[in-house]
Amino acid sequence: MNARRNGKTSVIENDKPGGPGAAVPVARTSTSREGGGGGHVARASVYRVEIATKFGMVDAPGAALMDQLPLLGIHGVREIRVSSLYEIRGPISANQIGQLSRELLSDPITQEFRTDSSTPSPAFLVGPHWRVEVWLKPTVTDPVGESVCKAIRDLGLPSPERVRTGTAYRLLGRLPKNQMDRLLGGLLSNPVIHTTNVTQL
Amino acid sequence: MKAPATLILRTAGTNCDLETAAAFKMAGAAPALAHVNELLSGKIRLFDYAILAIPGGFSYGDDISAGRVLANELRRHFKELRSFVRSGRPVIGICNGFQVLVKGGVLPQTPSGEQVASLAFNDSNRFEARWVRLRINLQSQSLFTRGLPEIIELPVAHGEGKFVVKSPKILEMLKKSRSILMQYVNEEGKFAGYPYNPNGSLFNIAAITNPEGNCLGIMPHPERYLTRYHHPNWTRQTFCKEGIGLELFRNAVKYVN
Amino acid sequence: MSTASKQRDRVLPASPQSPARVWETPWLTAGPQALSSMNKSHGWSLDEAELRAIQAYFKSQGREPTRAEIETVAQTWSEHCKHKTFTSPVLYRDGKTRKLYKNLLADTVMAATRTLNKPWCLSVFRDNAGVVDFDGKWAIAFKVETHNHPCAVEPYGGAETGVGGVIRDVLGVGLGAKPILNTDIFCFCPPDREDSLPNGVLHPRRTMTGVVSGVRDYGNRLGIPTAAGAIWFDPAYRCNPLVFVGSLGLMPRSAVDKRIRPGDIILAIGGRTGRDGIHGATFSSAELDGGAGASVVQIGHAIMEKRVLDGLLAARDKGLYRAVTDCGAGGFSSAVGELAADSGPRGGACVRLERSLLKATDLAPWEIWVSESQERMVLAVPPNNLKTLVARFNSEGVECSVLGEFTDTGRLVVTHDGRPLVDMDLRFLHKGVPVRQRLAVWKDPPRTAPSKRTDRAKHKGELSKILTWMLAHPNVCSREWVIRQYDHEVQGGTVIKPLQGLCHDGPGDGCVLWPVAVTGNSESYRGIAVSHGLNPEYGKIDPYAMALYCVDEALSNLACVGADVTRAALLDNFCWGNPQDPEVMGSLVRAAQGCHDAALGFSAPFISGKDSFYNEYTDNHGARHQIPGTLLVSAVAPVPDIRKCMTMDFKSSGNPLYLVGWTSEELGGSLFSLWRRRPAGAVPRVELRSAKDTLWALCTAAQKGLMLTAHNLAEGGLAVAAAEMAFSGEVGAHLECERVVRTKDVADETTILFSESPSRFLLEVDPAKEKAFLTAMKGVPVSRVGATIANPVLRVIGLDGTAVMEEGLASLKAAWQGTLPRLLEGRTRQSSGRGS
Repeated sequence: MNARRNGKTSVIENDKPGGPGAAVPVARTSTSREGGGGGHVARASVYRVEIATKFGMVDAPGAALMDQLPLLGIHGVREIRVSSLYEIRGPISANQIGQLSRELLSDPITQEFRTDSSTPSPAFLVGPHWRVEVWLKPTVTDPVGESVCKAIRDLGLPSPERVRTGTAYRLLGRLPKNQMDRLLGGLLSNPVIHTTNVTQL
Repeated sequence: MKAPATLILRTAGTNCDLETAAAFKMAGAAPALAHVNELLSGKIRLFDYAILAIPGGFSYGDDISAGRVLANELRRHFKELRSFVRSGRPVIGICNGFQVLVKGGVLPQTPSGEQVASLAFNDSNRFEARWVRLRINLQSQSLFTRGLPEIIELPVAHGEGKFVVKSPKILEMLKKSRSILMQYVNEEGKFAGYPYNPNGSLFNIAAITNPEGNCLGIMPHPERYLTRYHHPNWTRQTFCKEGIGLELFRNAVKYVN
Repeated sequence: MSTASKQRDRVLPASPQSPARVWETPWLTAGPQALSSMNKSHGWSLDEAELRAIQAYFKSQGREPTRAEIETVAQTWSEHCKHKTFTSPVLYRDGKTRKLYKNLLADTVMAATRTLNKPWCLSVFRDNAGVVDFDGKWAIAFKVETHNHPCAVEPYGGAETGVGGVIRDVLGVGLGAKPILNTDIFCFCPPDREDSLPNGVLHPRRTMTGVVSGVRDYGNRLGIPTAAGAIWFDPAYRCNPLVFVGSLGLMPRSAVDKRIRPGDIILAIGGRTGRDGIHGATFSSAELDGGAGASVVQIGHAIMEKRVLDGLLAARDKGLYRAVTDCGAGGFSSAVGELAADSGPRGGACVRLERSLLKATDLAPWEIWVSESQERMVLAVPPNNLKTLVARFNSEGVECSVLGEFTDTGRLVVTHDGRPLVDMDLRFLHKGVPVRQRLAVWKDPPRTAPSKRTDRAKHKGELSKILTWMLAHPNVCSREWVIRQYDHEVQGGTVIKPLQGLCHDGPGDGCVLWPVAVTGNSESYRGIAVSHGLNPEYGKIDPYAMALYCVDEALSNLACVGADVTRAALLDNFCWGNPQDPEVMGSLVRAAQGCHDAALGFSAPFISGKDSFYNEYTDNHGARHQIPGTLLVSAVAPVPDIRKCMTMDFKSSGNPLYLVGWTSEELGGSLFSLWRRRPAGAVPRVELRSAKDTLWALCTAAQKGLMLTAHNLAEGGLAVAAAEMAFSGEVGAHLECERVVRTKDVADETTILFSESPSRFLLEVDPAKEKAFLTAMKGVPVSRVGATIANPVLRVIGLDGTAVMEEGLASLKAAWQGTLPRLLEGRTRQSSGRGS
């Protein structure tokens, strides 16, 4: 296990190239900072876990989105890969995050996971792409997050303070910025309930 | 003949419990609905029952993935569940119950008890409710399908029913042990693509059994075809037997007795 | 904490003793302008008279109101909770005619119910849902709600919370009913409209797919079959989609009434209270302006509600509580306020709000009081049962909190940590809303000249072309894309399914449930049928005729599946524009009067209803977009014997086909008029007396099992109905126009095939039962118009005896099935057949 404890940064933030899309702060990050006072978290750690479909398996949500693109007048995208995001905040060790990612959050047959610190597995290695993260706003109920809390306790691990869920879309192919914006607002997110983070990688 | 005690295990989000209980009752069993908490707290004991059913639904909303949270909750009890299966008592997991059995490593049955298969998102990426045709593997040891015709009809209703395996070896093992119990077919009894296979299942698999035949995992819903009036075409048929789904439950009761 | 909530805190009262700090301007001395500006800045949606009434009340109390008190009044008096438009006095003017309604709702829809006075109506217009008898032992509860504004802003979450809310209405009627059916009816803009959208308006495709997904995910997770519904497309719904969600439940007859006693404990169960959903009730009374706040839209937590459902029904059967209600619009303030009114002769409640369980700790007390967080309910519990009941809920994973107790002081008293928040007279709260007379004006739209010859099909080939276009029209085409996503068979009781026919894909008129899993009585073959009637296109010409038609359509659909229409009960849902516009009110009055007349005419009472106003949108340029007045009529009736139910697919060849009902020159608002793109004369008008006779005769014949197949003629008339029956059964049909019973003005095939005259049915009859059938239908206009044939075609013989149409069933079906997949998934773009 090569996971390491990492309270503040996350793999997503590591990915940030500082482009215009990345300037959108994810609300929950500021929440956690507030808790620790001045940007440093002492007790509770915050982790992000991403779950993606293995290569060779059908990425059904991605394929369904591909069908929708022509209706939006978008034709240059080659592939969309959809993954689930979990942000887990609590007195949990990085080892335990590895365990729950493997045993709970991912399906051993169809999915792969990455945590803040694990070595990227094949499902996460793709060429240049747009990465879109869509999270529920902190004020919006997150039923899946609640189920994950329960399931983590069932595993015998410390109870998390809070789990929030989101979705990451990786869009491969040719996609000008204006089309990316149209896709984001027209299909992937709704500013009424979501915060988003778009990066070009 | 005594009505065999049948445990219908329910939890938050189970929603086919009442009709599954009704099916067992019609088949001559004495069904008891129990919340999974009662099992976990020791208030009820698995081995007090002759038959176990895990009914369909959306346990814990199917959050994370279908059946995952319930399988995780039951993880410390799967050992007991496996010995329940080994004791030869009938166990049936329908739809969400099948997903739980697969994600808990009970089916397909392996020596290590690890999860070697899964039920993934339908290829259509949509929940689908429709009646399907199924071909039963008459060579199988399954106690549930004894005396059934080779081709039957049942409804499916799921969003995550695409059966996949860890490796081709697992599929070979399933074939060799005659564990593939039902496959989706078309009107001619042949394999066909969507919508006959509603989810894109590997090898058109709709239901599997353990080699001994007492543990059944099935995506379609036999409890929704108990009388002729459940069939979508009953108004077209001048004659029509009872619902074929009832036979599966009757077989379980008959076997116990 | 956000800046916004800090601002809210600033106006929070420390206590009523120091009220001066509470308000920008003290209430007692504030002038109309100051009141109005506070009203606006706090988003209360109160009008001038209401503000004055509140001021007068607190003057009489000799003190300033607290924030929580004003919020309570605003929620209780909101359009959503009080239906103040529909219950207000209305002066109606139509040319020279004037009529004064003292209370529009009571004088129309409810008056008919009172007049009919059916003994099987157990609870009407007073609880969370209407309740009628099922079989003497069980009762049916039915409620249909709208959730339009939230769905416009966030389709998925809006639909989910809409479904969740209406299910809680059924759980919260009497002592709670078990939901066994969900319904969904949508009015959307066609998804392929490419014209630019005003700011803040979602693309219609997104609205539709989001709403369908929301209904699917919530209904499926709760294990309630969504098996009845309708979809209507019209560009007029571009900015204001309508989303009707219904739920039908079954309860023991002994559970129909609530019986609260002073001293009973107020118990809140289910989800925790959060900042989410503050000001939902007042939001639903406000126009959409593109800047909807986030706090009013939520996504649902279906499994929480499922837990509540499981726990509640188990507790009901053990008799552990005396009343329950949904925590919907207005949150605790209206749930507790409503139940409090029934506690003893004077009513009353005492609430200690600090005991409520919260999602976040930074809520101001008044926010806790009015928050509309989802999946919560409030119970009245005898103190002795509290421990058992709480244990029961906890075992299902449901949290409970004791909020206080019901009293008989006549006052609603709320405190938080000992500090008073609300101390108000319940009578003022529930009866103090000032009534305001509204003006309603109706002007007939310019009379359209009776359609001319040039409007008719010019050549024989054109009839086929029109039929194909109609079948592919969004308002007619297959709904399979939607229905398959719903688990319409969960609970194992859906014996007449929404998709029917040889390949299980034909359009059923209604659905039938056989609730054995709930009643446990497998000896009984009694069932429940549900259907709908909706046609806003007719309403554009005459809302009165539309109302008659909607009732006729809903009841006709029930008759087609074999229900007992003499026991049918109706639900109304009115969605209209801005009621401050007298013409909008005029149209509403006509529709309401139509409901009244139709209910009496068919002897079918309304048992519940809901209205939604301000369905309009002001865009960035100040232009107003208003929906056409839209009436949905939902109908429910028992089925005496489900073994006699019928579907709409032709069964076999060689059977006579009968057309029931008069065909007249009624193409106004019809699908044919849309094809011609011009008004085409008179809107279909239901002749109440003959329509009722026809319906009741048909119902008797059905119960004797004299028909094989029945289908109601709706949009597209005879041609569309015959095509649907033929391709669903894969059995051909031969029709002869000459044999159609028709009024004198009907002299051409176009009218015979496409007129939308109401109360008409196409029936397939077993030749062996033909005589008995004709005897049963004596006195009803009925005529043998053809037969089913082996050749898979729809063949029509014209008035001159030559074939005017012969179209293969496969191509008709393909046209009918292709539309929604094409519109929603962009699959194989093909011409819709319409030459444009």
